[in-house]
Amino acid sequence: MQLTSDILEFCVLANLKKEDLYGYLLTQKVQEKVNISESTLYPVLRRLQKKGFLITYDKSFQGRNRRYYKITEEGIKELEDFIIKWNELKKKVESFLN
Amino acid sequence: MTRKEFLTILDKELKILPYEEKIEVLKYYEEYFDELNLDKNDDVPNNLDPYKISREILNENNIKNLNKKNKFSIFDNIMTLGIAFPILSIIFLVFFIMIIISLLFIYPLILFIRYFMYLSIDFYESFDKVNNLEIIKYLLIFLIFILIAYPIIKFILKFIFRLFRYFIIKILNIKNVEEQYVNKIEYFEDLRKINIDLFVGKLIIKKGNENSLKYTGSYTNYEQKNGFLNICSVKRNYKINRKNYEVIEIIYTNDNLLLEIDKIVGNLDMETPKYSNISIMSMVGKVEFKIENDIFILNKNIIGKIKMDNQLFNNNSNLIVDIKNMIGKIDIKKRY
Repeated sequence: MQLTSDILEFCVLANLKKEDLYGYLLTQKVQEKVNISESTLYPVLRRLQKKGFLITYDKSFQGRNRRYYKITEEGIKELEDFIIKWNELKKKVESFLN
Repeated sequence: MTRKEFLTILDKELKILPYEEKIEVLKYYEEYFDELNLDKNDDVPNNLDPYKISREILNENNIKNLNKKNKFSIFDNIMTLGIAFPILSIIFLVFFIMIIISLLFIYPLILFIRYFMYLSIDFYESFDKVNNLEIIKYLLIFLIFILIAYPIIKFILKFIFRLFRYFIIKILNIKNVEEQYVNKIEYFEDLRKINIDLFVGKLIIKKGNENSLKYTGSYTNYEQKNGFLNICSVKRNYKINRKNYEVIEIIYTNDNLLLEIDKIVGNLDMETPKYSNISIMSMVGKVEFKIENDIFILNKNIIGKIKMDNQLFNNNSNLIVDIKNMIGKIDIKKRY
């Protein structure tokens, strides 16, 4: 089952809450846990950035550039809201399944 | 798909995105492939699909990718063949009708002239052979014919003109809109690249002391951001007369200025910078480049002629001009 891109947004935010990551490493981290196509991640990052949940900064590594993504205050707030809603939804769905 | 192919496709698909945003996307994937240690000709991972990525990005920008793409591809074809064909066929039609009209005149003209035949032989004798009244009669017939024919010819020519205009409007999908005539001037801090999606009118680009844009017209939008200038004519009106002729005059200061034109109908008059890449996809009209040193010009489909001094051409020039499809005239001169 593939994740919808809304939920993927929060997976990305949750990852970035722990540490700042650059594109490639972030893709690896997300892919470790859930099965997503590599194509979908950049559009997700772009969307989050446009909403103001992420900011970027550049750091050079071995002569080339790495663009790090950092979660903003709004991003953290959004993630916390989502976690509450998610838990409610989970309970409801589970009550049907059991 | 190799890294190079992937990036080329992405670049092409995201053409309608603002330049800076497109660069951001390409940068991300460049970085990504660097991390994977992929070379230009190495294959990218299978599940990376440039079409899917660009679609998602464009959807998000509320750009109806498909519609726009269809519209533009039709336009591209029209530019090379579509415009040339109706114009040529209408020119032939005009000549054909002119010939028919002139044939109509020949018969009364003959009737009228033939009585003067005798005059040349012997003036006095001719009076015996020709009735004076008859000459006047045919002269009157001829004059009346002209009087009747004139409005008819006028009507026919007007009809042809309307037909011509109708086709042009159909082809270019022009709507007749109420318009406001604007006259303004704007100054920029930086100007590095000019990007023209579509422009109908006269474009003048000059080197000067201050980056500025002077605009007179009614249906062209422009937007300037971080040294990138985007120009696009939107509401196109077919009534192009002196009053609502679009004129944009750009003045730049940098030695290095890029110019990318997708479609332009009209005149382009440019003082070229020292280092530049100028690319023109489709153009109908006249181009005049005033160059500083030398020029390297590449062209693909040109109906028209290029006027240039051979000495100005240099394979290693810092000024590269690439013209894909063009109907019109190119004039290249030295500036000083």
